Amino acid sequence: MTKELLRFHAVTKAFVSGQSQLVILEDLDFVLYSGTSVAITGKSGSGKSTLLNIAGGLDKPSAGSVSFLGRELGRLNDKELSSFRNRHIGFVFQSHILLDDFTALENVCVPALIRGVRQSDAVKRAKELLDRVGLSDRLQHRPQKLSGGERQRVAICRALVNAPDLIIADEPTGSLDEESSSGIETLLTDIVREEGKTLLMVTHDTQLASRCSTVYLLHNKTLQEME
Amino acid sequence: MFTLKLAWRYAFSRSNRHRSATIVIMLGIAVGMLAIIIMLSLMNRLQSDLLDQVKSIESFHVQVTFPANESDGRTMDDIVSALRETPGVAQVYPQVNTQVLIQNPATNKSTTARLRIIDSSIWKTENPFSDRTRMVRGSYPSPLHIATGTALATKLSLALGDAVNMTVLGAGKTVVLAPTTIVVTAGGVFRTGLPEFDSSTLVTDLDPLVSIIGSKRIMYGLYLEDGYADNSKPVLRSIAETFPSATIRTWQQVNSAFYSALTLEKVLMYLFLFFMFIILAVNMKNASSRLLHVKQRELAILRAVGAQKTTATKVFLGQTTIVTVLGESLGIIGGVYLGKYIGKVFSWLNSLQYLFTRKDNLLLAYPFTTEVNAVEVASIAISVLVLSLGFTYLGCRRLFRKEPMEMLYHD
Amino acid sequence: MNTRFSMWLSGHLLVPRGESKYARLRLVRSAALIAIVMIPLVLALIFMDGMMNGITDKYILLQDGHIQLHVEDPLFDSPRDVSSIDPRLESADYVVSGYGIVYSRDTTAEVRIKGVDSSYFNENRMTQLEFTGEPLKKEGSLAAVMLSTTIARTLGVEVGQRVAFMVVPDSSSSVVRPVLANVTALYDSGYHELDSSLLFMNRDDALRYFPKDRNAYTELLVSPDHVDDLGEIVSNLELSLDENFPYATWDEFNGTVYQNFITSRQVILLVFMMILLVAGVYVSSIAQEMIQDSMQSIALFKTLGATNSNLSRAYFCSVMVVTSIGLVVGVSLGLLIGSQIGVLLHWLGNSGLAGLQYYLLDFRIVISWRDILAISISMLVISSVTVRLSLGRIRRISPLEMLQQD
Repeated sequence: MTKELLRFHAVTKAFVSGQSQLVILEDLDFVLYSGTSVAITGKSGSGKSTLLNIAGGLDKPSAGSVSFLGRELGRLNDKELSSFRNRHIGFVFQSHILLDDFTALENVCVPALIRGVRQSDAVKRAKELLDRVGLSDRLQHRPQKLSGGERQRVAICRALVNAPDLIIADEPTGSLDEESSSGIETLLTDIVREEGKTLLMVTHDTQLASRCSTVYLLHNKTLQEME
Repeated sequence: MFTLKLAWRYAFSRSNRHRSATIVIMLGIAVGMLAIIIMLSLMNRLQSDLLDQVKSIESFHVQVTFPANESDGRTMDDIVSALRETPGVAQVYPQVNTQVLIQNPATNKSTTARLRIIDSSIWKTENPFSDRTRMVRGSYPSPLHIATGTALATKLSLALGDAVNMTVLGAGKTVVLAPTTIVVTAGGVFRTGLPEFDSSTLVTDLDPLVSIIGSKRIMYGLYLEDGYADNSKPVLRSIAETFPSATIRTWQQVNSAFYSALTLEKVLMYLFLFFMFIILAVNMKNASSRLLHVKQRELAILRAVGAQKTTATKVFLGQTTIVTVLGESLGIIGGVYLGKYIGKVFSWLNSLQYLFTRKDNLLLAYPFTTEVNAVEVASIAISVLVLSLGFTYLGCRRLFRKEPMEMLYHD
Repeated sequence: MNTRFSMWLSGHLLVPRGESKYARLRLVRSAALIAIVMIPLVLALIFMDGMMNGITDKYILLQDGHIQLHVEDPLFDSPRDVSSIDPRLESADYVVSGYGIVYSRDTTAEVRIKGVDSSYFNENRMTQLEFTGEPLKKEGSLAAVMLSTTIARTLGVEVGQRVAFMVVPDSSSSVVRPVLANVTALYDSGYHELDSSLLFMNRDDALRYFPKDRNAYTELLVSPDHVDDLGEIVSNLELSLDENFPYATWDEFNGTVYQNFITSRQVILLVFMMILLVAGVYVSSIAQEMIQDSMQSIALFKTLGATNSNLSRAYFCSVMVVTSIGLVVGVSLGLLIGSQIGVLLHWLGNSGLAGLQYYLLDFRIVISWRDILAISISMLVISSVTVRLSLGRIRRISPLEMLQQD
């Protein structure tokens, strides 16, 4: 049974630079339902990443409201917002952004530890995920020793470790070669489907976008659903 | 000029949060300088007051004595005249210092004391002794009339006019020292402000006691003219030429142990306080090397457009100099200003601690004043600067040695 | 609050693995510098406390005792009898004391003369002195005296030779007669200020020269652990002996010395505080550097849901652990070196530096755990405060800014 997971209501985002104001999103309405996968495309600088940041609680809209499972994110204080991100959102970034001083296993454990899970339980869950993505022999490797594709797989596992409701991926294959990209595309969409998660993704990759149930185009500061 | 401008920019660069590190280090240096100036200026004043008192009251600027067996026909007056004519000598006072037993029959109290037999003109002429000494009661010493220090008078419960028995060790017929008891009258009570002196000393006129004790024990106390008191070498040379057999001692030599102890305490205080600057220098080293790391590309570009290899070194040492000099200037200004009002500051602190302890703190209640020695402050400032520069160079020397292209790939 | 994550992160910060050579070196250097700061502070405390205690012991054991009961006749048959009245009392000696001038052929010295029995030099007192000769052994009718080596040097006399002295007489006689005495022994207490004026005399001889109604008293020594109970001990004695005695305690005899000690301590501790304050600022700079170097990691942790307090706690704990390690190492090394301070002081004593005569260089090492604890706690408190101020930076790190999103 699908339910409303995320709702953007008349969201506007503007950046002020000196005397001028640059409006990135204007009066944007958007609803995301659980269990769906949504891709957002658009030109560079159109505001795709800004939209994702607002959805993930990393940024606040200049006007309008964003609610997640009926809770308005704007009313949450810093502690509540941190908890929200930790429990409900899994981030996958373009440049993976792993912690260089930690092993693959430790990187995946971090969100679980932040949540307060016992270390042994966190390790168990992390190992399961890394095994699933084919990195069981890379647990003690640091990011410097992993290939681009392997790092992104670690990032995906990190995003899933707390079993969040929503995976937010910002150009997950943007810095990978074609072969690695293909692997990551399949992995991401399959794993999200298997875990029953919701995916909100920004991508230029049409092939990846086509794997999603809905594709939007961010154009002229608003979203348009594409056929 | 360009190097200095760049050094200034780097000193307050926002890269790597260097500016906040700079400000913290600068404030640390300022606080360190302030602390060292206050402590040392307090010590300077306390020590110089003490030494002034000692050389004015106790030991004179120079002491001249003659061998006991010498008899060249010169009288005491001849010697005094010859000494007075020596360039640099302001005043000469022949005297004998000896131990005595003193009894006050009126109160049944007695004690040992030190007797200074000295020409009474010392009280009436302007000199360092009379400047510091005040007759609290009675009159100046005269033949067979003594003046006692305030604490000693209290100990003996001495009243003016009391006849006291004083036993001195004088020249005997068959022995060098033999006790002689003389009755003297308590004529006055004095205060010098030197507690040891006031609690243990009687003063009387030369006549007739010097003949009882023996003129061979006379010591000639000299006060020197301004400028010679601490630099008496020329005067000593002249005296030695006039009196080759005399033993001539400066006040530093007479009080060598005490003087040495004061110097030792000051040196230890220097060392302790300087420790603070070592910690700050380490801080500066870390901050500088981190900034240099961040500025690698910039410096590489400067090299590429023609700056010399030593430019980086000069810029970084320059920024250390700027930070150190600014910090020191703040500290010196603060230290000198606070030094002027130190008495009030301590008094306020004493009132504050009184709220909690209900007792005065003797240290904080003391009426301190300060004496800032400019040479001392300058040498500390230079030492701190040298220390800072040394540590900065230490932190950055490896990166200074690299070539531009190397620096560009350092990341 | 999620302490597990904070502790886990703290552990990683304290033991950086992989290629973080710089991070490891930084932690080691920081701990080393803190240790280097603590070593001289501990040494200075050991020296100051040891010397002050040593000087106090000298004055108490050789000159004044802990308590003086001004009673003209002896109160106890033997020095040890007093312990049966109050176990805190170690000995009670009947003593005669006065002032005089001792002189040799052509030199004089003002002295405090203390008339004692040979039993006066008990085990405790013997730790304060070194003798040559046989102390106070009567030979013939001459008074037996023991001079300090300092006085002997001034007078130019040795053991077996004679000196003359004049004492402050009984007021009934206005004539002072010189008295001859045999120098039966020389002593050295190691403290010039005391040695230069203290002379011991056979008690029976002293009683001939000093009237007991004004000059005799019983000198009590108290066990070191009960030095603060002097008033109570005297009350106990008065109850037991059924008499009220005029009495005085050692800090009253030596008020100036006692006050000087207190003042010196206060000045030294003030200087220590200034050094610790600067060291505290250094500790906060370690925290600043650590935060600066892990800004991206902090931003990521925040993105993943870590709160400011989680992260602050982790960094605070790491820095304070490093500080504590440096503190413990520094204090330990300071104590170790301090226990050997006698060797250095012995060398200093032989250096011939004139000013050192005002100091006591041969003393028992005393470790004031209270003082060491005080400076350690001060260091930790100052560091905690300065580090807390630095940790405000964590609050200002924004995940967005550091992740450099489009």
